[in-house]
Amino acid sequence: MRNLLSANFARLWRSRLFWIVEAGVFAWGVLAYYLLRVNTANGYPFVNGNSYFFNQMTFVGVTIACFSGLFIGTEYSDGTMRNKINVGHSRVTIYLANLVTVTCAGLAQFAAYTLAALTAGPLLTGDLVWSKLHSLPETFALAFLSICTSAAIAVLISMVVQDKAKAVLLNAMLSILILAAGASALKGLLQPPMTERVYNAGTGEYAYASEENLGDLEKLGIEMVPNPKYLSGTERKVYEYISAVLPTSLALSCSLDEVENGYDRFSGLQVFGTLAAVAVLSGSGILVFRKKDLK
Amino acid sequence: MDYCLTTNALCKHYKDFKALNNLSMHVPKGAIYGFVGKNGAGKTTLIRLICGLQMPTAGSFTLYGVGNTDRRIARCRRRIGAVVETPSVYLDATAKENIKEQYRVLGMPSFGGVDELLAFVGLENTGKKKVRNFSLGMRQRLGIAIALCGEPDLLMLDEPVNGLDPQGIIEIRELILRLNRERQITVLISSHILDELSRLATHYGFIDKGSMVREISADELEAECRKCTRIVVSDTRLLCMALDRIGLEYRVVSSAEADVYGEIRAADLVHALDAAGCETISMHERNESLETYYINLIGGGKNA
Repeated sequence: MRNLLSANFARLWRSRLFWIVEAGVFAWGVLAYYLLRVNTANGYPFVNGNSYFFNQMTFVGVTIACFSGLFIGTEYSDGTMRNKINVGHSRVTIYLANLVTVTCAGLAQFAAYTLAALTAGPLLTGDLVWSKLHSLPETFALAFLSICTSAAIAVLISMVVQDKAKAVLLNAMLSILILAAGASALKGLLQPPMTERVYNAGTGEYAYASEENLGDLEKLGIEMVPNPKYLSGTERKVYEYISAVLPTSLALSCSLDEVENGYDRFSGLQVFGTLAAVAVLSGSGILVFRKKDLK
Repeated sequence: MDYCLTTNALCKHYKDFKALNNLSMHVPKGAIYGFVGKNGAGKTTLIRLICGLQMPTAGSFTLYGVGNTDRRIARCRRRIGAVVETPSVYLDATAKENIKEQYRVLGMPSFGGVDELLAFVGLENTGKKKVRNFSLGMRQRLGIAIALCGEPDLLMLDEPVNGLDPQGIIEIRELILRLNRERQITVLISSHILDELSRLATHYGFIDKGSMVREISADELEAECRKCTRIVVSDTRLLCMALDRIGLEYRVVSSAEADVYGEIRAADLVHALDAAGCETISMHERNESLETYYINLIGGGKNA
């Protein structure tokens, strides 16, 4: 395992792809804080520092997926996977070494963005970069969990699909799908329990706010009613479990306040969910890879 | 005889297709074993099984006495080097980087020996040139160099001269001979280029449709392919007496047939046999090449 990791990291260090992704993520960080500077200059309110500081987490699953498909896919396309098996390395250690390598590459992407936030952020926005940040240790932990699960998914596909192009395509499509699923699950969980409803005080009819009825504001009333989209009971539990195992839910949670609308973004469930997801994904991947006929 | 690799009724099936069908083979230590067969005969499949890239459907093999189901087989694989189909090299790296990468995979304590290895395969002057820009022959030699990183005792080369130009073929041939003679490495070469194999191999295994048709040493094969005259007579006992008297080398094939080696004058031989009371029924010259031997053995083939 140590030998394989040493070989993988040496290759990672030499990889042009790795450095292009690192540079791209760093540039993204600079752009994010430049946009913050432009927005605040134009009078837009600056509400949540985490949404800038952890902005890269939104697409970290996609970048890890593409990187993994290309990095591991090269071992299949160039045939160098054979060199490891030929000399007696077990398939389990080859799989785990690749999982560790891709996870570290994902963490390196995160580090590149954080570096941009810590350097370009203060240069572009001054002390503003430090304001509105909250629960940093917890958010870093969330980011770590998300990167681990994203890497487990990406490595599973990259190790099982021997065709490099197919692996990259499948990885990219799945990561976007998971991003949409994660955003959807989180959106459901973040619905407030109560919502506002407009009604016509004169007639008592409920109406949407429009140019016609807004002209006569005295006639309009606003009342708080239970939100029909608020998830409760078993449905809420299911959504919580889903978002605990989806890396994108965890990633998007990095931009949230600590607790929003009754949703605790970081609890034992998230930690357990990540551990379970990584174990199940990697266990399945290892089982398939062990039985796979390699060319 | 000591064998480094033996297989016993080895089978590999892909759904209904039998790539290997009860294949039994024996590769002696120190040999250059020519593994001969048509395209699709099962040569690459066998190498894949030995390397651990695929699992046998049935049967077994032993590598230096260790069975394929033995836990020690992984460690035993450290004694082999292989180039399966295409050379396994990182195209976006240099030759030196590729060798160093394999050193890391093997856990070698230092990179001492990298330059010597590159020099051994004639790639010492490739500098910063990426493997992507190498010729096929150079890639093949780099593939062999990577296979040699762990100082293997057995080297398995799958179609090593396929697609190479004449110069490349000569270079690979000389490299294989040097490995066998200077480093005492047993070499298993799968090929369907018989002429090339005949210049290298000390032993042959002929495979067809996943089964071993025949294993034979180069000496035995040479004897079988040696130029001779096949004589059919009424009594081989009398023929032998006559041939001994003349001093000709021969081999009795059956009760009525014998192969006589060396230059003979047909009239003199018939006269001598006649005098001994032996009737000569027929006489024809046989001059079998490896190719015709193979064709006769396999029963013809488009790719051989």
